[in-house]
Amino acid sequence: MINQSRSKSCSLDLHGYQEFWGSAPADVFQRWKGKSVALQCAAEGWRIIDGADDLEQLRESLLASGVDLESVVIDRVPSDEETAEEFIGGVQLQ
Amino acid sequence: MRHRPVISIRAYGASPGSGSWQIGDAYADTGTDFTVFQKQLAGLLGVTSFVYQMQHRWKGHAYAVRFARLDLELSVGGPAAKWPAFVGFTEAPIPYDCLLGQTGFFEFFDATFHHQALELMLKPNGLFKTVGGIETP
Repeated sequence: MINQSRSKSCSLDLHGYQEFWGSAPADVFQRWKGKSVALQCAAEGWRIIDGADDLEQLRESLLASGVDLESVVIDRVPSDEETAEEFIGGVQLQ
Repeated sequence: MRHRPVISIRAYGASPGSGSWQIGDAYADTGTDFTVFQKQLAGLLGVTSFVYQMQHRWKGHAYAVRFARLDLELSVGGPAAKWPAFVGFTEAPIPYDCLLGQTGFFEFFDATFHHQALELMLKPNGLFKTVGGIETP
C-alpha cells in the first residue's frame, strides 16, 4: 500500500519536501508567484533552484545551467489570482 | 485552511530517450474524469503523437485536450507503483501541473482518504495488474 500525504510530497524526501513548502518564508512565495519552479534536495534541505514563466522556459534554463533534469521536482507557485480564487476541482469531458 | 490531496508523481516520456519529470503538484481529484497534464508537459516528455483529441470544459470555456500513453510512477521512499496510462494534455489554465482523475489514476487503485490525518492511502487493484502495472517493494 502506498501512502501519500494530503499535501506536497516527493519520492526522494517526502517529509523534507512537505516541510519546505510548509515553512517557506513569504518572500519565497512573493519572488516566485505565478511561476513554474524547479526544486532540488541538497544537504541543507529542499530549495528552489530555478523558476520561469512556464515549463518550457524552465526546462531551457535548467538545461543551460547543466542541471540533471531527473534530479529536480517541478512545481508551481500560485499567482495572487489563483490563491484568492476558490478552486473548484473537477474536469468533465464533453 | 483547506487541504487538498496534492501528491508527487513521476511521468516517463513517450520514448526511452525522452526521460522523465517528477511533478510536485499533482492533484488527486476524484471529480476529474481523466488524468490531465498542462499542455507544455507534452513537449517536456517528448510526446509528439496523440491517439485522440477531445474537448473539455474548464470554468465555462471549452479547451482542447489531446491524449497520449505514458508511464506514471508513484514512489514515497518505500514501495513504488508504475503503470501505463492514457493521459490528456490540456490547453486549459489548470492551476496544477497535473490533475489525477478517474481514468489513468483512480481506476488503478483502491483509494482511502484519511481526512483527519491528511493522508491518502492507495492500494493497487486488479486492473492495475491487468494493464501491466508493476509494484516494487
